Amino acid sequence: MEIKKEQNGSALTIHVIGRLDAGSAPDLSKELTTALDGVTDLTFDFAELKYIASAGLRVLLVAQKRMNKQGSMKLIHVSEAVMEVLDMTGFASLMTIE
Amino acid sequence: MKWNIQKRLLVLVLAAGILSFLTLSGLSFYGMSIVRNELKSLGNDLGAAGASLTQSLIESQIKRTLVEVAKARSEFIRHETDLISDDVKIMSRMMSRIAMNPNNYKPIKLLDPRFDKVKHFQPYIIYSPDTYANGMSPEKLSADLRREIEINANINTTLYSISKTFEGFNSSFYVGSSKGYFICISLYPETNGALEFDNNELYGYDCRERPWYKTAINATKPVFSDLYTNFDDDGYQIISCSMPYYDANGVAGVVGLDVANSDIYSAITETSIGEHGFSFVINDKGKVIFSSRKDGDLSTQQTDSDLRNSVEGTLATAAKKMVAGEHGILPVIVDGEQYLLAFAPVENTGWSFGTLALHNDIVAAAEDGKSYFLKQIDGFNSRLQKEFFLFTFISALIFIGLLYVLFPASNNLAHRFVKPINELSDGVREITNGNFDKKLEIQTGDEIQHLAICFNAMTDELKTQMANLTKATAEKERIATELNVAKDIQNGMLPKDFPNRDDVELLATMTPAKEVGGDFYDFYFIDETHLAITVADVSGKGISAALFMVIAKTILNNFAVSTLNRDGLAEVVAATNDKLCANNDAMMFVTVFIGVLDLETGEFIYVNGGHNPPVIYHAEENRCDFLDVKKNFVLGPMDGIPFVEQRVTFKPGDLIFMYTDGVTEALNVKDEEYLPDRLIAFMNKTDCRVDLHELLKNVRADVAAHVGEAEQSDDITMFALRFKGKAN
Repeated sequence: MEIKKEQNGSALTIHVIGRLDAGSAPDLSKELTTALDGVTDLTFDFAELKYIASAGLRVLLVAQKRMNKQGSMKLIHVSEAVMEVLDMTGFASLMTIE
Repeated sequence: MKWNIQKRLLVLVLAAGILSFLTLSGLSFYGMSIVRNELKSLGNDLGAAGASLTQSLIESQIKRTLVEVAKARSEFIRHETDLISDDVKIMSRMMSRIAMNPNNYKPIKLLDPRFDKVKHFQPYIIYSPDTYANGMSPEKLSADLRREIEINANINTTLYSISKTFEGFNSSFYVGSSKGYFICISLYPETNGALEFDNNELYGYDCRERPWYKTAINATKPVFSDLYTNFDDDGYQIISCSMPYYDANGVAGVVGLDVANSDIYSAITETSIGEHGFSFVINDKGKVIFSSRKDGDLSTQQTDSDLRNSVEGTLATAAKKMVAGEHGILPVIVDGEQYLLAFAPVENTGWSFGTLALHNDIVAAAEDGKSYFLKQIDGFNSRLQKEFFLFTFISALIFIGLLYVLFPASNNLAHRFVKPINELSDGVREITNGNFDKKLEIQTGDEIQHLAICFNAMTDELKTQMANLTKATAEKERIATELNVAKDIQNGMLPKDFPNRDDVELLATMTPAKEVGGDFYDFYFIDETHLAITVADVSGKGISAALFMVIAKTILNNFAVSTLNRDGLAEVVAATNDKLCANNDAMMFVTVFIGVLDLETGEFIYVNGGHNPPVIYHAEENRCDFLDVKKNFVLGPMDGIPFVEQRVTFKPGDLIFMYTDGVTEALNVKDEEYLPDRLIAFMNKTDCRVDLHELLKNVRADVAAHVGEAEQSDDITMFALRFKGKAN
């Protein structure tokens, strides 16, 4: 998994590339703990995300919970496979997906 | 060959020492060589110049000496002849006084050797031969003549006194009258006083015929006669000097003396320059009258000829100059040998004194001088050479000594230099062998000490790291052990006693991945006719997932057993969710599929909390499809959310196959998932009526076929339930 960040003022776009599974989820989690400071507009770009595991979902949940307090969060360019998981687990109805 | 530091140092120090010494030595050797060569060439030049200077100096010195000697000797001879001529003058004056004043003297009768015995210092008379001619005899002489003779005999005292000055030498002092008588005192020391006369001397001696008479009779001053042939027994040459005396009528005769003048003789014979030098005297006729040479040219043996007419031109030339009364120095050839002749006139005599030095002697003397000089220079050169060799020798000695001292010193130095390095390597070796308590004790105060300090620091750090590592390893091991225990516990929590009933058949397997995961399944009877089944997957892995799984499983079980009948399945799930949400800051969640089967009616009530939709097999149609599930949210993150329960009625033979994402998301080596589509396709393909063990095995085999060599990434849980219907 690879993480790319685009900071534009208080808006942060995070590109998650590859597989977000139990192995790589802690990396993203760790990244987010600091990256989200002062961010009011968080966007996950999942254009190149191939797979998301439950551990990855948990990271999204943590981020969502935090962004609920300090701004907003959305997911963009979600692939079909990932969308399936989000859908199945009910995340799709909980999160803003564009 | 590779050298160690000690050897390199040794060579370095040695090389430095020896090189500097060699350089210095080489420089001084070079300098010495230059000085030596310069000195040598200077010495040689100086020697050559000095030798030639010495040669010419000696030559000119010899020439000057020759000239000086010639001059001095001629002076001396003149002085001696002056003494003689003074005597003659006295005799002439006395004789003249007597002859002119015969009346002032008394007649004296002299000894007549014809009758008397005559001794030395006794005057005697000899009569001329004509006295005995014609019957004459001295006794018959005229009275006048007799008187004249007897008066003239008064000269005897003068003769005597002069003769006394020549005592011990052969000599004669005499008066020869023009009238023929001869008065004389003769000294012959060797005859012991007595004189002997033969008849010729007694009767045949005419003094007027003698050369001394003839040469002097017409002279006005003393004349040295050529009495050179008169050698006495001692080998002395006799000098004759004579001059006339006068009476009233003029010249009356001649007085003279013959003396052997040893002083003159020795002045001549003992005057020689060089080994072969000699001296001679020639008279105004060019005849050699004295010579220290016994024979050959310029000896008195060849005195008949006039030297001026010598066939040897150089001698003739020299003789002419000598006779002419000149001073000078000339090269001459005597008996074929080259000589240098210096000459000077003897005043008042018409003689000339010449002294000769053999040219070869001069050359030899000059050569001697030159060779002496050259010898000195050679000595200087050889001393220089010796000193030079001494210097080289001492240098070599010092070099050997230097080597002798430098080698052990260098060795020692190198050893001392390398010692801390060796100590360092020994210490490091010890540390390498695991003794981290080893401290390097090197107090050299230089980089090596610094290195040692760094090593010590490194050792400390290593020790700490090793301790930490040991601790961490132990911790890890402990955790791993605990994880294994947790895995066992987790596994133990999964029910294994599948009921063997007629109305329902069920089987579940859980294949854990390496790490302890969060899958679980469960089944239990709510009452006699209701069977609850659960398949769940906790997010993440590890202890936290396992713990959460235990909690989720326990709570779900509790709520299902206690409140299902009162509140329904949706409420059970909602309550469980609420319970899980409490204190779930970590946002753990669990996807759950839970269903309750009425074993009598086949009605199946289920709630899907974000879990994978199970596959349902319709026995009548022999077809599989996914169970329609509402997309409820997962359990754990959000409380108070509603869950929708659904229901379906199983016909006998129908089968529900539940699984976790470990099945559909199983990865092959290409990271490709197994996917729900393949699952449903396989389920439709395979025979779902077989024994559940067989069925699960087949599904697992298909998944395994997909996965291939890839490592299992997640727990794989499969749970199958077949409804058989009431046994009637």
